[in-house]
Amino acid sequence: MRAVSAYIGRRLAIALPLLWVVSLVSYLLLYRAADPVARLRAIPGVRPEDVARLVEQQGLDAPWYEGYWSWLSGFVRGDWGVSATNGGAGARETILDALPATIELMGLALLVSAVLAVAFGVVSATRPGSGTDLTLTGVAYAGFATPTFLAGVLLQLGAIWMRDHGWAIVPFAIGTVLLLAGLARLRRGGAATRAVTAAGAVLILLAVVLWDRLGGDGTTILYTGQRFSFGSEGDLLSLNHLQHLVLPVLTLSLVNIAVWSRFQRAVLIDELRSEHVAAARAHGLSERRVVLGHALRNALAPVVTLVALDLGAMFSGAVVTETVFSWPGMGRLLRDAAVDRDINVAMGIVMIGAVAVIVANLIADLAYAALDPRVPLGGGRP
Amino acid sequence: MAGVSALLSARGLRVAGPGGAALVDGVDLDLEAGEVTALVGESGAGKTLTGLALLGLVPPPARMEAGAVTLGGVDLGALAPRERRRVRGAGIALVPQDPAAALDPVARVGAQLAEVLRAHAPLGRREARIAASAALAEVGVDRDDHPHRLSGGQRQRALIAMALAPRPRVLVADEPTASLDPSVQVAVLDLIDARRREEGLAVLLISHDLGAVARVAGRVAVMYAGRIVEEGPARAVLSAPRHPYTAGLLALAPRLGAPRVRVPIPGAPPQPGRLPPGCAFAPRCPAAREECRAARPELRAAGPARRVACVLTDREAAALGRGPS
Ligand code: SF4
Repeated sequence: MRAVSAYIGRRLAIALPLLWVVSLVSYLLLYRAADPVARLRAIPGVRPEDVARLVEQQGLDAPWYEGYWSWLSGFVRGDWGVSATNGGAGARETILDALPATIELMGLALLVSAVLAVAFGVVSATRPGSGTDLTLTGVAYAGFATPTFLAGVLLQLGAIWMRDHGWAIVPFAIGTVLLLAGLARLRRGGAATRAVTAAGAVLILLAVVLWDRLGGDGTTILYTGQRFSFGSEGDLLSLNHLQHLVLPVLTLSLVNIAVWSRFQRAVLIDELRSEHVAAARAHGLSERRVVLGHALRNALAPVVTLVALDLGAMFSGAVVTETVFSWPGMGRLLRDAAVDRDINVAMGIVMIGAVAVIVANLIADLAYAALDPRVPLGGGRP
Repeated sequence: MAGVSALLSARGLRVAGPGGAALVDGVDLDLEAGEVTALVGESGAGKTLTGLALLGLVPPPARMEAGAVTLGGVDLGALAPRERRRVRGAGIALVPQDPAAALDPVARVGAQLAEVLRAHAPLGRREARIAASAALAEVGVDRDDHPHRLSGGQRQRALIAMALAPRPRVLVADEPTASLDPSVQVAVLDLIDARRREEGLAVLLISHDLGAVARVAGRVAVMYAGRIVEEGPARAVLSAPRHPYTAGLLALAPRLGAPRVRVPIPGAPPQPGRLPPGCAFAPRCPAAREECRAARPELRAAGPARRVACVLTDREAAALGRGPS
């Protein structure tokens, strides 16, 4: 235990200079993009002497490092500067207001993606080459190839369609999937396959019959955009809240499910071919125990690492998702700050993101060591 | 052949590789309770696959094409998958080939052994844990260790303890001493032999180490290119081989007190699927003649409880055993 906390301390100490470099590079990039003098000059009808007066008054001609220094010294003291857009409110308060909505979105998306990716990976890896595996592979490639913003917009269109045609789409969709899956292997399948195929056909019929009765009343089942501000609704577990969450979470999860499930499949297939899995079978363990207890347990460590490493990419996904769905979170705030040249808010968000990525990497390494006793923390002997 | 009374008997085992080539071709085996039967031969002869076929665990892409295995009179091929699985471990147990890879690297050995116990007996977690610790302590392994912290000998002993824990009636031990120091080899063999003596365990000892075979085996079956070419009581086969291949293997084996030049068998075993017509050993056989290449010699009786698949007469084989000198 002592070794673990010492390791964490060491890692965090290394993180400090890293954070400093991140802040410096980000500041330079944002400073150039946010050059206020250039913006003043670009406004039509503003006279050059007015620009010069403003520059003089507000110290806008100060070199970048003075601005950076005053930002940095403020930041470490907890004064993150003033937001240029949010009615002069503090940048920190503005960001912290938006933080919970992002944590909720990303946390849920992380949970959903991880669980589904592992589940799909296991299903695929235990029957490679089967119809189910091929279907999941196809879906994964589609998910991987679809940019997040496009996925978000498509899902929104689907939700609008659902509002106009009602719940009938649910039995229709499930029925179609069952029917296709059943038909694909009807020839070699047994009674179960026939039952699945028949159930699919019945569901489709049901959907057609119910189409008019269920549809067209304009009831919104899934909201396509933000209709609440975080925390104001009170009840986090309300149906309304969930209705708002489904589409953004799905949008943000799609790519992760695609990539992680492929990775889980590959690692698990390797693991299932290993000697110790063959030995576990020879000991008479049930296939379930062999796959979940031995193969998957070994195959989980690399996947956990990938998940943690992908957290940074997931935040950029959140920026897009929150923008598409008007989700009142940090991602949308970052996008707005970038558009409005709100350098203090943008810097604050970048720094929070950097800390989050560093912590996620640390957790990944700790998790790997916990899942695989052969891996020593920090590369030393165990 | 030992007849119908054998504890485990396999008939006509045939395992085919991905291209359809026979890797194991018509192997019959009988394992008697309380007896060690050694299966010897060069690597690639199909020894491991034969062992796995007994468990019904031929690894893909190879597959078992034909053959029947009965254990205590029960035809294992007729069992439902669930029942078949129960027989693994509790009926026929396996000590796998590579002890370094055969233990789950992320689980403690105690937990792995407890899991095997619980798969075969209605034990609670605590009971299984206690039983597992005891079984491991017996072989000098700490249940809380992870496999990577164990020595090669400890791993092998843990695997043997694991295989023996559900009290199987038959043990298939695949090269149990191959990766071990000579000093540890004897201890590992004794571990298996003790169970044979005390509980009438039937053992199939897959090995190319004729020293180990001579030490514990009651019977010997020699495999070449997927077939059994000679079989009989260990003492008789090892002292007076009837098949030129057996004689070649014996010439290779180091023997105490007789430091003589090791004579390798010339050539290499044939590729599966590209066997020569007639006797598969003919291209390497010092005694091969026209007759050998014409038709494949089948296993035939050759003396008390012995069988051989070779055209040579007793007298010719005996002359061969003495060597050319
Ligand atoms: S049958 Fe002929 S070739 Fe084959 S082992 Fe006997 S003597 Fe040699």
